[in-house]
Amino acid sequence: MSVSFSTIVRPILAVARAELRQLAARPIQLVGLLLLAGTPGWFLCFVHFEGPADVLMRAWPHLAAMGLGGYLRGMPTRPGGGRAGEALPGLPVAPWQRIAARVLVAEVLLLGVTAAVGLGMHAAVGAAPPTNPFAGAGVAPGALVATLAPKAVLWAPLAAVGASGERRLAIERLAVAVVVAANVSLSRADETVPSALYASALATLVVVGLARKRGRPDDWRRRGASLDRLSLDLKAALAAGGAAILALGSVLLTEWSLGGAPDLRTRLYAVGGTAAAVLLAAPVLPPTARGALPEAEASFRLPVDRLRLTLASVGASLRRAIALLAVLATVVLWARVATGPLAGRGDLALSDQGNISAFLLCAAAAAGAFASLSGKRWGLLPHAVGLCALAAVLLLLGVAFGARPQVVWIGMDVSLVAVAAVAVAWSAGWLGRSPRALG
Amino acid sequence: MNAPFAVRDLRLRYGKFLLDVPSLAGEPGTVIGLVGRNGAGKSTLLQLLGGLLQPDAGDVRTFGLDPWRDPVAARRRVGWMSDDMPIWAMRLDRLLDSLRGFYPRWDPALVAVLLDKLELDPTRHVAELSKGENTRVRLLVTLAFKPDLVLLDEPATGLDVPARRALLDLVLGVVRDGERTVILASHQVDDVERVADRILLLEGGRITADGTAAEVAEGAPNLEERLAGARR
Repeated sequence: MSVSFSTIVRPILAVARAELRQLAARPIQLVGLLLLAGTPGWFLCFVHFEGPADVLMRAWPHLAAMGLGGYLRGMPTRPGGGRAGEALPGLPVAPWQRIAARVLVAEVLLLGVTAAVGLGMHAAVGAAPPTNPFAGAGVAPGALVATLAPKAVLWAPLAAVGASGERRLAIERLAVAVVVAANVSLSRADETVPSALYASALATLVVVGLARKRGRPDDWRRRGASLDRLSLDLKAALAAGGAAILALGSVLLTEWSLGGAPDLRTRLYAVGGTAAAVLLAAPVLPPTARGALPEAEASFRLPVDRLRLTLASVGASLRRAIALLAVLATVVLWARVATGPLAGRGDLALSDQGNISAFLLCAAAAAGAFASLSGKRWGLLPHAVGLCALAAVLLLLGVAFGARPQVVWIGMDVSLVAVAAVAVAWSAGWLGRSPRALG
Repeated sequence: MNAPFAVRDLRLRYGKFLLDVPSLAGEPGTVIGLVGRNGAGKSTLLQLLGGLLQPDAGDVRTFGLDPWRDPVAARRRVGWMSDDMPIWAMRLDRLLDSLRGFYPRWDPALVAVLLDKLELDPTRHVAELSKGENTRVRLLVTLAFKPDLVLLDEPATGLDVPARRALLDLVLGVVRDGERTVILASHQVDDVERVADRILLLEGGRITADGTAAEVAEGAPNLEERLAGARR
């Protein structure tokens, strides 16, 4: 095998360049990707407002990592089944180089957007950027692990090069499991409740995902046997129940491990977050048919299937309406922050947490909505994110009509967890295909 | 000097189909026609030579390199084109600019000539092109880096007879210089017969005839009749 700069680096740069060109040729996808990539940066700027240090260290952008992980998954990597789907087959580039190029592009986008937003926020309030980017970042072991862990999702496709089918799925799910573990660590090192909630949602999805006998809805449809399907439904229902217990337990254990008994709000978080996670996990249980299940079959199915049918039947027009509302809500919220005294964050109508959740939700919803409008290759993501966006919009309306902040906090966080859960599920391939248009 | 391609004890199984090629090699400067019925293994053999498929067993070499294990070095000398080959959706000039980064031997002067000969407007978006124009773009991409071995898998499907002939003549005009090797897999037996120095007949995953058109026809009135009686 010839090894030189020309055969190792040059192809990677060539693919990366072509990827960026392709992204530039698809502005809607690019906007969606940037929203996804930048959202955690904005999130951190608003939460801690310690600049890029936080962005880089405290909680490396989970959602962005997940979203970009999905982007990376779009790469065909399976030598075992040929290299079908390879754009311009025959190009002098190895599969691992194609993946490496995507990681490069993803990292550039991620770092570029988050750093730009962080520095921009500093500039907006006239503060000097930190000379030491890690100053004040609070590098607790748990936080460090949590910071690095989402990388596992981002880089999992690279690890899966050469693996085929089931093994590749297993590697990717393992990566998600690492993120879950890391988030539990984070919950010990940092903010308790939101982190534990996040962990619970992730745990739910991992357990539900692992319960699936076969990898993807497409595989499942090919299998087709109804008896098999029912048995898997039962397995999935049991798994969902088990996951709910696990999720609830993780929250309570986290709280207890920190020496405090869970208060009412924590319990509400746990129950609400778990419910949301299970609800959102439902569409990804085995026989997900994206609306293709015959009506006659539906009557024999468990309630969870009817929920899937309902989710899958959300029409394009409703999604568009939700998309517009989400974008509008995002713009309004950003405008409020931009015109208000940022340093004094208390001037905002919502609590910090509510604000952040709303930002995150709306941006994610907008990204999902853009994805929905830009093609049909994104599986159930637009449906699920659309529903989350709807929840966010309703909560914002609640604020407008004077709902108590506590109600908004809880609602926002539940929705936030739901979006995070969807992002993880999508990244792991449980919501149908990741966008392959770029592959 | 290494042969353009050499195959030894090659086996690849797809379900019930088995491609089995005990030995095969090509000489520089020849045009080899690959004929056979649907499912005979023509595309599979080309994909193995191009490093797009991994053999179950045996050895595949192009210019002495294993195209599966060393795709970068091997593919820099091998042009591969098929009728259904996807192309990145972007403006043609940007596509060409993106691709040149992959090939040290990319020849801008040749690209300019080919753009002119193929009547392609570089400012147009790939998505706007007709089927015939798309075929010509694939051909341009395949030839622009002056490959030493050109693998053409049904390159002119969907084109009418004059367009097909013009296309093949153009390919041969670019690559027939006594050094480059072309393998052309096609259902259009008359095309193959017209341009090939050597013809391989694939039946059920095995090469059952190898020679000139007359030798491969083996007593049948012509190559087309021989092919009509061939197994899948």
